[in-house]
Amino acid sequence: MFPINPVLIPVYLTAVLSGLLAGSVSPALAYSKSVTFGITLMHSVLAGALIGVYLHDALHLPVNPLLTAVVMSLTASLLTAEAVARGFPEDAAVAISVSVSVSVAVIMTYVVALTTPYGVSNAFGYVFGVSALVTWHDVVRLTAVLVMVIPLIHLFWCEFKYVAFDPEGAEAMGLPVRAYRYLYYFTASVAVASLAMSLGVLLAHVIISVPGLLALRARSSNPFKLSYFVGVAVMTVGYTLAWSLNIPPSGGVGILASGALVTLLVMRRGS
Amino acid sequence: MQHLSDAGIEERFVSLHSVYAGYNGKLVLVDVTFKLESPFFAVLMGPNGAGKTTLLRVIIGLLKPIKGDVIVYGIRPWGKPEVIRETIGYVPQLLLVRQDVPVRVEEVVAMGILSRLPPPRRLTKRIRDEVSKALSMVGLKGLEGHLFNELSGGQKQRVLIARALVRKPKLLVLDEPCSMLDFKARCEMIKLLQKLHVERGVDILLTAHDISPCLILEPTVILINKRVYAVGKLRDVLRPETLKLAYPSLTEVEGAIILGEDHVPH
Repeated sequence: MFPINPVLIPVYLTAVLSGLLAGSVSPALAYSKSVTFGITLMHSVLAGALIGVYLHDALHLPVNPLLTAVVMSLTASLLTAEAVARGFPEDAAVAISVSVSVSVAVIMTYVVALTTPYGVSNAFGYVFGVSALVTWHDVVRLTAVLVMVIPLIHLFWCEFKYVAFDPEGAEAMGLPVRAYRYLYYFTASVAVASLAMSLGVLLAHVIISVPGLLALRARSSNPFKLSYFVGVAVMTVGYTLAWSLNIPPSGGVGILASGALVTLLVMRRGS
Repeated sequence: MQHLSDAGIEERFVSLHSVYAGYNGKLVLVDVTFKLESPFFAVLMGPNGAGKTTLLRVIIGLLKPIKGDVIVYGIRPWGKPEVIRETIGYVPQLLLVRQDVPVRVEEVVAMGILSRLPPPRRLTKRIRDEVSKALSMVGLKGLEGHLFNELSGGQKQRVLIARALVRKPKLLVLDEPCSMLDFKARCEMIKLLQKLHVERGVDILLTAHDISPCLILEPTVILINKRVYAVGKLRDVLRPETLKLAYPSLTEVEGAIILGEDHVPH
């Protein structure tokens, strides 16, 4: 038996949970051509974290940056959903949402830098990731988000896919397309915000896209087996790789995920 | 259809009276009036941007007219959307369907039934049987497990028709069902629609640029370019003097008429 370092237990549990979370939400993003949307949500997570750090560190209010990050991410996703519902193409809607988020992030970086000595570095901790420092608190939070997100994704997968496939036909048949869009954006934003807060925005960027894109590439009508497998494998093997090479965990996962994306690219060119 | 039985004589007609419709304050349809009496096989014809798709969206209740009245077999689409959805089967332009989403043929057709049910929407044996029947009707039996995006253009169009048919509609509304098809496939598509019209009593309203595959059917033609210029039997509508109204850049050469695609200035 290998001796198990107790510090590693929450780290690996977080890796597995994050892989499952990415595996659940990533196909919805990929099949809806919304990977860019998922990635740009990270900007709103950063903006939200900066607001939280400002409220907590400068104004000494009992506000958790995680909460403000989730609220900001939800706001950005609802802004995107509303713009799409009003007839903007999704890329334009994402551009509007990311402009607002980045503007808030830039302003808050300036405000936080002026008012707190370590605020900006605290907030940027969310960008570069703190995955080596996860606690049982992170495990509980990710589990809670998983319990909410996975049933929603599986319950409405058929509808999400169908709305992505033929929105006008779906509407003509009476499916509440707008409601499903909101639900989808809401679910994605909660998952993305949670991943970003646990893994860091940069790592979450990578892990959110890989499982879904690989499943889409495999042309699977039911992509979850593959996406869960890829999500968990990339996370856990990536952590182990990082441990062996003595590099940050985000680096290990990033190498694997980037390798998977490059493989995908080569597969696409070859086909 | 039982729910229409008390609608009186109007239940035989699809009628539009002085309909104005558009998007973001811009009028696409102006004073559109016509009446089709069931059974009908009608073709909506006009240049690009003439408002054909908009007119279909008004009829199926996806777009509320700014002014005017629409009655489909005794029902106002905006008054009873749930009834109109059961009455009309809609086949959108293939161009609007995202073909990189890997969806199986069976899933596409099943959505015609599943959309009536509350979530969770799962395929059951009964639904699978219904799907197979609908696919047989359009000549695609056995393709249930295939991916939609692996089919030919004509087959994809047939799958979308099967999805509409599985709801057993009284009226089939098709937006450019022959676009992206070669001439042979267009003729086969029109033959299929004729079969559905004759054998199953389904009324047909479709938009088309090229109606030559329909010539043999003598359809009712509605000539439109923002407003309706003519409604009637093919031979009455397709006259140079009538066509010139809807197609301002129409060119006459010996033995042929070339329809321009220029829009009437809005």
